[in-house]
Amino acid sequence: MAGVIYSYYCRGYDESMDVFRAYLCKDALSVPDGKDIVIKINMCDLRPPETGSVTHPVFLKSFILHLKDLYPKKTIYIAEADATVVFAREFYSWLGYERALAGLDVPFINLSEEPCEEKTINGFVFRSLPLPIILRENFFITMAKLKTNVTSLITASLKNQYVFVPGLVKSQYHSNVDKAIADCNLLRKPDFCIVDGIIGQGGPKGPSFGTPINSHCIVWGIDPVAIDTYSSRLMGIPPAFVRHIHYCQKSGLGTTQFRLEGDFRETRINFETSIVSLVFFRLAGKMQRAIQLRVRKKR
Amino acid sequence: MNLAIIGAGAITRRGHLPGLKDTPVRPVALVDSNAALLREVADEFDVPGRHTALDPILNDPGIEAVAVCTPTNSHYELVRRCIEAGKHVIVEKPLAFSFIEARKLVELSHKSGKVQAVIHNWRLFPQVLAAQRRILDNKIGKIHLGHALSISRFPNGWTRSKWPYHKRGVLYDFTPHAIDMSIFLLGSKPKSVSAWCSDLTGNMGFINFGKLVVEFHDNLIVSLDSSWLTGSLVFQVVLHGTAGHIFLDVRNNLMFEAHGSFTPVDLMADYLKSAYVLSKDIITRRFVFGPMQYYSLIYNNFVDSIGGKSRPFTSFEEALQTNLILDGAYLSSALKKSVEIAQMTEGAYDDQFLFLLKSD
Repeated sequence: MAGVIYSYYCRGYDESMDVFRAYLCKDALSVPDGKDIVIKINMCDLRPPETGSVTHPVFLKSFILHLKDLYPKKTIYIAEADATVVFAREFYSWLGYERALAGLDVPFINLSEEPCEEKTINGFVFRSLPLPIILRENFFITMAKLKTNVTSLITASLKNQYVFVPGLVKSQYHSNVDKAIADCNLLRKPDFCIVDGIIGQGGPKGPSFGTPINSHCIVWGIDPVAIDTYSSRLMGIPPAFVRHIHYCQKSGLGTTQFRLEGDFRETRINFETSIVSLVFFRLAGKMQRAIQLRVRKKR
Repeated sequence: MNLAIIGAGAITRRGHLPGLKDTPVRPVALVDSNAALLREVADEFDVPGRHTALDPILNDPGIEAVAVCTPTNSHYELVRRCIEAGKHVIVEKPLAFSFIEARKLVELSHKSGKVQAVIHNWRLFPQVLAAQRRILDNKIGKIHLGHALSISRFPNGWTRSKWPYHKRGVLYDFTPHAIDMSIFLLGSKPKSVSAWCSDLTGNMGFINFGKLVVEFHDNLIVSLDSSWLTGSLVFQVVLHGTAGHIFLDVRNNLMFEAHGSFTPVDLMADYLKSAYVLSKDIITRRFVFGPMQYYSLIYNNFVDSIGGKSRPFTSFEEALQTNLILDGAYLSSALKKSVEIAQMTEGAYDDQFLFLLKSD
């Protein structure tokens, strides 16, 4: 089914369950026998869900309840990793996931603490990367946000795997972010991608400090390249400028050609930014860091 | 002067060690319990002495002064031991983890005969000093109302995925700067404090936003707002006097003074002045370094104070006032009533506060 993506209108998080029940069936989300499910959510700094920065707990809960209806016997894990500005386990509690999912029996796993095996990928930046064993053995769902991103221009399905770059200070690979994203997807391509775009985030200060955008959509499919291409267009950023889409397509992770299904009619949403402002903010940030480092060394 | 620095974290790396280059102070030793971090930072700044324990620097007569740059909950013990070892001490804000500890440190400092100072680097922005000058010169008359806005990002970038904080959260992170700024600009002591501090999501278990109302002596009321949740860094102070107003944007080093009703001419003049100051700060790179660039000034003042030529920018006595307001706010929020500072000073709230701390 590669190349087909689904985009549905959803007025608010309380209605997300209705959308899943109506449209997300086993044909679209087919989990093989003998595999459990790992959902990698998106936590990005300590930003409450209404900012559009992080996966909304209500969205996650609706999705899990629907998954449990589809696959009642499978264990579902929620996953995230520590990062430059993420304390995964603490944020899981602080941002309300723990409370929202209480009683559903969905364990949280911190990918930074999981046993890994080194997997050769011969990527653009990395020859090999550590793959958490739990992701090797189970069905991997990436649950991303629809956001602008000052370093990679957009955050959607592909960027959500950037969590696989080694170490805590993941920002150290920002100079090569697009190639590193492609490498991370080479390491473990998601089996299913879903983008929470009910409240997205726009403006040039994404993915953490941008402007909440009521984009009212949920996007899913199995081709992350197609989903990112569609998401990019939706946010008004030409996919040709989003280099990780290019690298991922080149690596055979998916295609930019896709057929769109679903009832979401918008082709472009005002994400209150432009490629010029994103590039400008990126350059300004780089200049500031360069000046700080140069002066510190000079001193 | 030979200095030892305790703590090799972000403030040491970004503020203290770079700032020492333009001073007569020589960093001869660095102390941190994390050996890997200690080695990394000491190598970066060529600090010869590296210790994972405190005793070697306390027993070294060649070390005259110690800078304490560790998390606040360790300040009391470290500062106490340094003072008792006969060292001059400079410590990051706030002075101590509680007003009870701060009070003990003030008593100790009075007996020591050495210099003790607390670092409040935000005071040293040129426009803050200009505002203070205008206030002292009576340009805005009798100040009776004030408002300070101290909003910062949740401090995860500094702490690298470790959570070293506690239930008092933002109250003990960025709010001390706003409190100190109020004390500094108003030159008055607090009389009472009322506060409403909370956890917005109900899931975090620590204070992530709050409002304080502080009544100072001389009929002066200041409100202070703090939050970790906006994703921004905003530090502004507005003071209203009988003869005018001061609007101070501390982080961006901007000040606007107004008298009477604001006219379009006033506003245009302010925009032009702001554009000029900002352009100058960007060109001279002052803007990039923000409050970190004032560590040289702080250390030069510290050395001058040790030599008897000056007084510390912030003494322990003055820093105690910040601790009293902070803890008064925590008490007020918990007890849901106004707290009298005089009663705190006399020890009337010690038991209640210690009981509250147990739940931290």
